[in-house]
Amino acid sequence: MPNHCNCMSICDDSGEIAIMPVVFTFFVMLAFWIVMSGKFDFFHLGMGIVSSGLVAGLSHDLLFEGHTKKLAATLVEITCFLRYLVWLFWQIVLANFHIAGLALSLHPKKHMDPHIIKFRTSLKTNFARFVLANSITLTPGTVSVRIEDDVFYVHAITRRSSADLAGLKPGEMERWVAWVFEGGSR
Amino acid sequence: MNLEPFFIAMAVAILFLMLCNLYRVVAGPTVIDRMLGMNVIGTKTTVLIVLIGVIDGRVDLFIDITLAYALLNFITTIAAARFYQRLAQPVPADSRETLVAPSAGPEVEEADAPVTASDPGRKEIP
Amino acid sequence: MIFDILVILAMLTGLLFFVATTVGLIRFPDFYSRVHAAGKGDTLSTTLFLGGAILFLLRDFSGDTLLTAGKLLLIVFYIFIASPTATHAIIDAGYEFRVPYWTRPTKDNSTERDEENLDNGFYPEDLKG
Repeated sequence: MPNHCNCMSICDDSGEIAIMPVVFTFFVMLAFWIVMSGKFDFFHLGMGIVSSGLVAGLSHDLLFEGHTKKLAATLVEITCFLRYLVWLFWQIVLANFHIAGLALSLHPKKHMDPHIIKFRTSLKTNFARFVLANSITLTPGTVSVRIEDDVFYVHAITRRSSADLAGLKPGEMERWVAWVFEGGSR
Repeated sequence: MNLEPFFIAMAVAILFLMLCNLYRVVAGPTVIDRMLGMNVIGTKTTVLIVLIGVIDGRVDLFIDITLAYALLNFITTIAAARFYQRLAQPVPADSRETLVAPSAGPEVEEADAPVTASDPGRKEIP
Repeated sequence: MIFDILVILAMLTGLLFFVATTVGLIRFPDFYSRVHAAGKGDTLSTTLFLGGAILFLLRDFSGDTLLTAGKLLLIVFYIFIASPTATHAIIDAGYEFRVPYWTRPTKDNSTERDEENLDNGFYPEDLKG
């Protein structure tokens, strides 16, 4: 089986360090600095630029690990990700009502049927798998237990909540994540 | 409208809920249950610090404490979970604890990597 | 005025979900279900509380309160990332610990006590053979 997760280096094939991750990391760090310090005079901004540059130079490979896309593709991806976040927030609201109804019902054990399912994902990159696992944890009735390469173990609290994941075809959420990161159809 | 009594009531209610969560920490059957209870209490503490800041009227001061507390809570949970996960993993039969550091000399042979559950070597899904 | 009502609504809803989290943490029969209660209830209720605080701050609008609201939003964003990750770490440790899990009693042994329904379950090692 080809393992796509090992392409972690920041260098492309020509051996040069990609410049985009450094710039992105620098601006993210600078925004974080400005929000946290809240001072806009020359001294503090200069300190922020120096330390952001230092952090970006040292650890740019952590934030955008294995990310080799161009700027336009990255912007499209961020837009898709924001749309995905809106859908995810609605799922979080549903999950909270689900778990609150279960906890505050008179006999919670009557409605519960806990079981562990496992399935294979078709997602390739580590970041997409991370997003999928966190989304599984946040959606109604499922918590991701363990990820072994492309096999997910998911604990579901009712039979209904695991129906989307347990099917043979990729579920709705996996199609969303694939649409955001890997250009699949939704 | 003066909202201060409302915020104080909310803070007291959260404090009471933290006390209820303490039951799971004290009575939890396994150590992981206790860890889970502490994680929930930590999240509630994050909210409680923000509420105290709002009551005091100095949120900009308390917000940094909140952020630090949220980070600390996350790191604590991750570290404890990883520690107990490592503790629960089976020790391979052929590896024994040596008092000599691995770099001490050539006569210490390297033990095999412990077989963990996330071993990528076996993956046969029926 | 309308801001105050929104603040009160958001915080009361958040308190409701906190109560649900606590009740679930105390009532649910096994460790895995408790993780469900703890991991999901906390994210939305924290968001609602901090959202209420943001609305309360933005009542008197200025640069300073805007900055503080930004920091609060940062905390919300951080909790949205950190809470599922911590939940996942805890449940993975429990899975490695082989904490027994509760299964629904079948028709035959529905009169038995709950403790006897604790199953040793389904672990990756069992699938090897």
